[in-house]
Amino acid sequence: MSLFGTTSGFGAGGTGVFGNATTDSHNPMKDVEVTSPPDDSISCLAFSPPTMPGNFLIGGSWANDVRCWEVQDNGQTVPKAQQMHTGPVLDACWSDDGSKVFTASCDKTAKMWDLNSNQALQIAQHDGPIKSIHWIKAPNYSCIMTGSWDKTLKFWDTRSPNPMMSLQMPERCYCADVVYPMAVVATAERGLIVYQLENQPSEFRRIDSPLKHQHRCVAIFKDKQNKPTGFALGSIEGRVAIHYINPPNPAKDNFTFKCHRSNGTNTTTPQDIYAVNAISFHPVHGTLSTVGSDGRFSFWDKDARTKLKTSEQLDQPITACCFNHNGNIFAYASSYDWSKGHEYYNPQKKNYIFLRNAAEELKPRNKK
Amino acid sequence: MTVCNFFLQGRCRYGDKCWNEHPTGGNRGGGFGNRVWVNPSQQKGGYIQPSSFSSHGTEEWGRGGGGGGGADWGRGGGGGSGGIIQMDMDIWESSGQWGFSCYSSFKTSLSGFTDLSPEELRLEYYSTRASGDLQSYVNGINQLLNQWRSRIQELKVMNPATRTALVRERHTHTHTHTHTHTHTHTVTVTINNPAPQASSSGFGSAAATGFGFSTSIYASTTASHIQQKYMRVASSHFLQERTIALKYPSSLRNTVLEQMLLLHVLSEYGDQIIKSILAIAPVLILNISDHIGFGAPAPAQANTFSFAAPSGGFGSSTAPSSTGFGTSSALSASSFSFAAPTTDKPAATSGFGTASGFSSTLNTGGGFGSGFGAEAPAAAGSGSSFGRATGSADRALDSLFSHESNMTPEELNQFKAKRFTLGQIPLKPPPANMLVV
Repeated sequence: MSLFGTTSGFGAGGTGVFGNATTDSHNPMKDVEVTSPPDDSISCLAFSPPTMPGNFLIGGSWANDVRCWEVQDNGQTVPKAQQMHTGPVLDACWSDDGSKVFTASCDKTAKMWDLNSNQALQIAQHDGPIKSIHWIKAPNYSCIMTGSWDKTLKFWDTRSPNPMMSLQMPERCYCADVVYPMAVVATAERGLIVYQLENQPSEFRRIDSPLKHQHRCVAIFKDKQNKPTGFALGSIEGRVAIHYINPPNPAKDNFTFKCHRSNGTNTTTPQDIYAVNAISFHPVHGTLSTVGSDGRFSFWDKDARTKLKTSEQLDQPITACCFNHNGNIFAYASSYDWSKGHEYYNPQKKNYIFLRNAAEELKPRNKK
Repeated sequence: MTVCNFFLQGRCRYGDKCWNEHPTGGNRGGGFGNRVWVNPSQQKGGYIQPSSFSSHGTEEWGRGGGGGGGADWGRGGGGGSGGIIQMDMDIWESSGQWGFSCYSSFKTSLSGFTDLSPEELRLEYYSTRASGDLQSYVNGINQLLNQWRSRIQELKVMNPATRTALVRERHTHTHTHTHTHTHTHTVTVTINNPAPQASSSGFGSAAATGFGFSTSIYASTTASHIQQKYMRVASSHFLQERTIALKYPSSLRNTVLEQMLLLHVLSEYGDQIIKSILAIAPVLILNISDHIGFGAPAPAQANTFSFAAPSGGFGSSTAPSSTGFGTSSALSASSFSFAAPTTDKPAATSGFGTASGFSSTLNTGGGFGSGFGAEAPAAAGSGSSFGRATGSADRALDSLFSHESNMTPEELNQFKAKRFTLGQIPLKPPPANMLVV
């Protein structure tokens, strides 16, 4: 019994997409595979900040672990270290100086991992699984922001067991993003809240969701002056909304686009619609990438409103993606995202993280 | 003849052979190339354009009534509101997208959909797998799936009842989640089996403090009206439990009206929670008796119910407390023949059979009618002639009547006399032992 309908599920063997039973479609884009990937689905990926020399990638997974790899310039990946939680890890982020990694888990705690000493300390506690964690670096304070399924957003000074601040949300936190001085949180029941972080975090505005279905992922983008100016919001319905906070002309500037759907626009069979699992913006070009449950990633130019590229279909959904600090490397993770329920979950299936050279493909299209 | 949706977009592949109508002067070349980018505010006053595939979605391959739901497209948003929802439901069902998601149309969320992310379900699976009982997870998922399917079906069919419910939702406060006001009182009822979710009905502002009701309320107001006026019901369900939180102004606490509200709302939810109703029944009766001065009702009455959760709140006048009622605890059959309360009358009237110890006086409807004013404690002292409750009335009697030693001789004389003398009527209540029954 399939969970939501009769679309072609994954895990039906290596056939299907390429018609050849022996073709292994796990890496159709022929990208670099990261060595020693986690044993269960990867929930998050993050590259080290520019303050640290070199590129280090961390990935959290449903196997309760967070792993760190060094990505060398020749494309080689070297596993460096690993930390464990007592529950699946849902999100991870770096501190601004690159010395610490913060991890958030279903065990309701968040930990601070000092990479130099390879020690991890608990720094946060919630009443429910923590879905998102971000580091905030303000001129007058620094803290960790955690969003949880217990409907609260808490801010932690890592030295104290009590939160600096706790904000109540209308519903469970499903995703969040921070680019100082703006933070966006998308919650269940199509909730969307923007916070401003100057002086101290406070709620700035609650926004009527531009999407009709459940929110899945959010990413803030910046304007030409490098100030955060809006965000991209993805839903389970194969659609992304681009929303500016204070646009000169909201009707024209805000829009949505459909993505991660099958069948193109010229057939009569019903489309398959897939969830958008993650969105991330290229740090230099401002173009964005989306990855979906259909096992594809796509690059888009939101200013020219065009699609730049869509990948071939992988045999598993893509669950996470991120760019490194200078935008040369695009990392994406291929693992099961539970979009078809537990029947399609195969614990034996290998999970992958791929690295792709992103310098050329994400150049913006010139506007006509 | 239905209008061809594809022709309106400029890409009907059948051309003149198309079975649907190609209106002249309709939009042609509606922009094939950049179909992907939809600016929502340019269409239909700010609403997201539904997928153009819906109309063909449910047809046989190839030919078929392309119009389908497409008749609504391009006609303006107003009349087509039902049509868009149906199209969206069609797409949702046929596309294989995640079903445990909320849904909204025209900026209002439609009720009846649970919002659960894949991660939450996955975590649930992992936890139950660790504890060994995967079957309960599977059952829960199946239940949720069935709820989703039936809700989709409801919205696709869109019979008049669904439509009015939707319209009502749209016009009232649209948030279906609870927010607590400091002056409202919450009662939480946990139900073991999820029933089909009652659509969240319209709520007026529940801010009525100082709600002074008079006897006329009972005559003119049905319980459902009261419910709509005062109560905010929100239900959340996950897997097998369902919790309904009832909120109403604190001024209703410990009043008979509160009991009625609870009775009525609970009765709405049908068989699954008939146990709760039975559980509340003795409480109600006990409480009602409190208000009319039966004195401390024998707490022993509560013992006929093996009712696990709440602590000794039954004998006293506190309302059903906010702890979960735990319907799984089977209630030993009470001695009440509890007919489902459908009327607006206080439960004291008909149908309660022999409430042990209360029968005779309870059913004197006449005496109650007037005495049931909002001034509940005061009702005790009002002139209705009820005798002492069996036995244990003494404790309460102390508060209702004065002690003989407190009386001055004049007052005692007044009480002893057949009639009061004007100007010398005592201001204190008589001693209990001077009452003539």
